[in-house]
Amino acid sequence: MCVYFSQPFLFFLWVLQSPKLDTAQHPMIPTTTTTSSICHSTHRYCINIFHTSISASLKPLLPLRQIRQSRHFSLSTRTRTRTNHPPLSFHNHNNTPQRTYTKTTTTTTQKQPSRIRTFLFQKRRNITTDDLFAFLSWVFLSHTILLLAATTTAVSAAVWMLDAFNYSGTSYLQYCPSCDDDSSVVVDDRMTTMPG
Amino acid sequence: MTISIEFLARKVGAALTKATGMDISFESAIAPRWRDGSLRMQNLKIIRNTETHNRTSADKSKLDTNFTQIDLSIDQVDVKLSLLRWFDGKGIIEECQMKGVRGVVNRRDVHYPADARSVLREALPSDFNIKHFTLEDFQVEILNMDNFRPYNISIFAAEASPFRQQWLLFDILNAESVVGMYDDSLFSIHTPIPAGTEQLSEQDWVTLKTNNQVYSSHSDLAHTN
Repeated sequence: MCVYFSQPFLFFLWVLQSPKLDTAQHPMIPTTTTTSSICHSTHRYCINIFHTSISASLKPLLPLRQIRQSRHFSLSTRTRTRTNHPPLSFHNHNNTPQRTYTKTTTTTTQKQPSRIRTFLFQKRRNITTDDLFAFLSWVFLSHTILLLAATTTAVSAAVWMLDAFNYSGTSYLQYCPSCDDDSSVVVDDRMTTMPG
Repeated sequence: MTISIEFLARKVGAALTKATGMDISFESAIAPRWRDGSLRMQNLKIIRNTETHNRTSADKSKLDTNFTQIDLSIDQVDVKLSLLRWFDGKGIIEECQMKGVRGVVNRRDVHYPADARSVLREALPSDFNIKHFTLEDFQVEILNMDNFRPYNISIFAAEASPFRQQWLLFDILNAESVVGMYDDSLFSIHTPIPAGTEQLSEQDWVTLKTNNQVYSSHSDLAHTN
């Protein structure tokens, strides 16, 4: 049921919320000192590190997430000078800064769909028609399976949704079998409980 | 017209009316019951009279009265649906539970022609084939043909699985349990289960049902005719 009801919301987030591309820069970060980035469009997992020289007075104002880098391990390829041998000392051989600032999306509402997209697409790219048809076929197949395997639940969900979105008040319907469809009378409880 | 849950109930009633030749209407809406996994309909009214019967017939000029007229009201019906059974030709209702049936079954106008012969009914794809049927608190008055006096049939509780339209009497006689009253004489149908039995498989039930017992007390001799 959770999967069933989350489908429209997922679709909404998926289509409307596009992730920030790697090349986009935060306006507060100077672009001159970007030194290392191992993020490529074909990589499934990537970390984009920008080594920047931001003045100490500007640091607390930035709404960016800080990542504390490991002392003896660096993901940066360009500045790597040693092999993957275990560290002989805790000295920082790469001369990389202890604190780096990553360009991430700023709020959680923007961050989450981006992760969903990264997980589903396996790499950062735009939505294609193929993806859209894959999604629609998934919706179609899931509905078919739901109808076949759990007919009562599917009908119950339909009835519940009709009830939730369109039912208001305490009115009930007096159905007149001999009448036509449009001539049935809707009687409201409030009318019947009027004083006098 | 506002699409509402009552609208749905009315449309379902109209569809059933068209399909069965009876007027079937819900006074209240269809409500899902998530815990039981069923749909509940309350205060059903089932009417089958000359007007509704002849509405479906092709020849409008000839008024057909040779059928059983029904006027029933049902307090509560819980159903479980299955599309897979429907594809199998067993009807869409998988399980059904009825409570509080009252009404009149009128057979006064039924007559058989002189050359009538008993023939085996042919099964139709629209026949119900319910996997598990439960009935509680049933009482109807039967108005009989040939000026026989009317009498009541009550069923306090009944449980039958399966319950098929094609083999209706067979399934009633093969029911797990039926307890009721037929023209003021108590009767019961039940499957005898040997003492010490713990768990019964489906095959065990089939075997046990061959020994189904039918009891009736103080039956009127008039019914033996």
